[in-house]
Amino acid sequence: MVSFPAIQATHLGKHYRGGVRALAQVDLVVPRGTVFGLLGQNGAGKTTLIRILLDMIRPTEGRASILGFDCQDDSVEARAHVGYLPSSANYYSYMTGRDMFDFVARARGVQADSALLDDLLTCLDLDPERGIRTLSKGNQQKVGLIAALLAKPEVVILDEPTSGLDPLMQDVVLEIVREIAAEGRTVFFSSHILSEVERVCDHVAVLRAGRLVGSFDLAEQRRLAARIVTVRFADAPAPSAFDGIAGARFLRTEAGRAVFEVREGFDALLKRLAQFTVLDIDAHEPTLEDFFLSLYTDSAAPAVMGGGS
Amino acid sequence: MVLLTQMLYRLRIQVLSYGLGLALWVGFEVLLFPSVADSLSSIEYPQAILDAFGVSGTNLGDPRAFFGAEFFSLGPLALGAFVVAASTAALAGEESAGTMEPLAALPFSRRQMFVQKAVAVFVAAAGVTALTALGWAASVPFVDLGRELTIVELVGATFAQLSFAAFLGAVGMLFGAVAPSRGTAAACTGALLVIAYLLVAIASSVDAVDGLKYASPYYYSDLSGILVDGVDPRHQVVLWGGALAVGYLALIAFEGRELGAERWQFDAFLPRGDDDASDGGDMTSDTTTAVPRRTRRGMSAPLRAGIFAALVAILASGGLVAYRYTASLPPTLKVSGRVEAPTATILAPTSGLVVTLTAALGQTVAQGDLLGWMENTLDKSMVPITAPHSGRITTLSLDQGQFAAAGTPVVVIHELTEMHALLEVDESDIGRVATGQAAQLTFTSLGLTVEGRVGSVDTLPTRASGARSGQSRKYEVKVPLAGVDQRVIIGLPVDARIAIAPRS
Repeated sequence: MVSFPAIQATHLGKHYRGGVRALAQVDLVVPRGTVFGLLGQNGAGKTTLIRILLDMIRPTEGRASILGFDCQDDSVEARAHVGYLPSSANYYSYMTGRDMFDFVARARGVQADSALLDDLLTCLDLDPERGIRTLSKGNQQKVGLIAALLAKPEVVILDEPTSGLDPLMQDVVLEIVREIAAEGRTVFFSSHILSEVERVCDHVAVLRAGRLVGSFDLAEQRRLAARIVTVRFADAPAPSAFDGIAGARFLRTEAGRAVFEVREGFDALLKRLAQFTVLDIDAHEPTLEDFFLSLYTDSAAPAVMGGGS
Repeated sequence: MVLLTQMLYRLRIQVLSYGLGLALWVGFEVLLFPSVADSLSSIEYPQAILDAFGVSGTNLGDPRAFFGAEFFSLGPLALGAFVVAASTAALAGEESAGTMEPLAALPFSRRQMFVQKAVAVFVAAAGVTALTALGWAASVPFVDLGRELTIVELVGATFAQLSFAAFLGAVGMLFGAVAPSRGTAAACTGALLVIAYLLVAIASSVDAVDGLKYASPYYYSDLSGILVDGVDPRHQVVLWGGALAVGYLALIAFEGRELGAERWQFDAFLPRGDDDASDGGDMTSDTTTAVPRRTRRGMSAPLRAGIFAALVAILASGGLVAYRYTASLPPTLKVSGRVEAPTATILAPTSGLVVTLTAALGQTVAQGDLLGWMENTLDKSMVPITAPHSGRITTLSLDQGQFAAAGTPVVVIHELTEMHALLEVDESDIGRVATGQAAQLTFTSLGLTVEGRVGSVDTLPTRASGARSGQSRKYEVKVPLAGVDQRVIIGLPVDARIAIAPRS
């Protein structure tokens, strides 16, 4: 039996007349039943990729398919299996949340699953009888999310689903994402926040300036769990002073501070730092920027190393 | 149907407010008419201004001219404004409002979205029109409009706006499919509406640029003179055909549109050139193994270009045909009048006793028929009374046994062979009426229509008719009715359409 992947892109590219290249040579396979994260900064091409999948814009090269249905030629069939939450959409302001859910159910020709709806409304703490015009941006986002999920689509595409939500609700949304995957359905979601991708995704693809620069199976990529440690010294030592620290690596000097990447415990680093006068120390999860910078360090691309010594 | 009903639901407030607004407008005009008709009759407007407002005739006191100027020449602008708003809201509006993305992710094809939205816009425009028609229905029965202007005519003329609305809606959808935003689309469509209107206004007041009107869709709606000249079916074909052609272009554009990209998008019409063939250079070596670029929509570039060219050709030839036909189309003049015939009054041939009078009222007599005898009082001679013409006796003034002085009217005979429709033509139109022009005569009370030709045109006006002073002068035009249906009798009211000469 042939099983098509949830989403497949082959040499997908999009450029505009005048030479602006929004996407180039993207090859991507999203297996079914997984949570797939698409990481990238604003303008990296995440939304372009998603809009091509939904036939809102057309690729200039390559092809994409959802569950084997071509996103261009069989776009209606493809979209029939997709629930989509746009990153910054508006919803009909004259409707209430419930009107919107009914509208989507009728448009999809399905019966709204009232048990699922009640469940989602409770989880997300949303009053469906309020007019959409009276809802905050975050609550409108919830309306969009529920509308995307109601028909129990095989593939769920979420474009920055947690943006605009408070931290508590971000957790709820990520929990919902996990549950969908547990049911054997597929979630494809874009984000620029590494931590949330790390928490729920099985796979991650990284998009930068329209190109796929990395694709990882997170179970193997423990490196994403690294911490970035920034240290301010009274009298900054030479970078060579940080050679050969077990489990930690000196990355660069940034505004008078030394930046380290720590993977296997802080002990060796702290013992080395103790030789100098430390004024301040900060440890945090890698930001996307850290991630990219380390990615380029690994692939020995010094051109992008702005702060390297 | 989901998108259609949703769109209609969204437009309900606008339909109600526009429709009721227009209904109030027409109601107000109707109620206003009787009180202003008299004063309007006496005002002499410059002909250029009347032309610009599409008034035929100089007399705004005439209800057809009045409502033509006060509603049908401006009303389409109001309905047009609604159509501009609705047609650009349908698709471009969703994009600009940010509601398109969730919508486009639903499993509808672009064609389904387009068709449902387009039908919804048209139904909404029809709804506005129907509410406007209610305005006539609610006001006309309470007012005496003076001349034969019925609710049915007014309602029909109101609905005749729909072909223009359909064309404008198609243009709005087209701009919505190629313009960067809804605002730009609405501005372009609105500008086209105003230009269309102004072209006709300028063309009808400046003879030198008369041909300009053929470039305006508003001209083909026939709306400005609709109560006088009616609708030309060929013009309707031009408008509906144009609406379908432009609508199809809009569909192609919308199918090719990239949603969310805020720029002009004419790409859907252009044969897609191989403009990215050279871009392979900046890619890595595996470009050669790349999957071939997909052609959009599975429709080949030559086919798309062919369809586009065919549509342009259809539009152009439609315009050309319309020009040829409408340029040679003789305009018609609608006038009314009554059936008349020359009368001959037979006077008493002598003074004396009416001995016998065999003539009876309504009797048809031939020339020379003996109608009776009189006895001269002086010489007791018997003098015959004979019919000087053939005709029908319509008046008997004397009875047998009465005395009458010579010259007293005895019998009046209407000359049936000379029966004609006597039509009153306004002084502004009389110059275009000539003998020999075809005239279609309708006797409403008999349900009878006959064809005739103008027999004579008076060279002097009649006295100012009617109670109103200062009314424009009328000229009498006769259309012979010899040998017409027996039921046509003297004094019967008649409506006529004369195929007059084009304004030169």
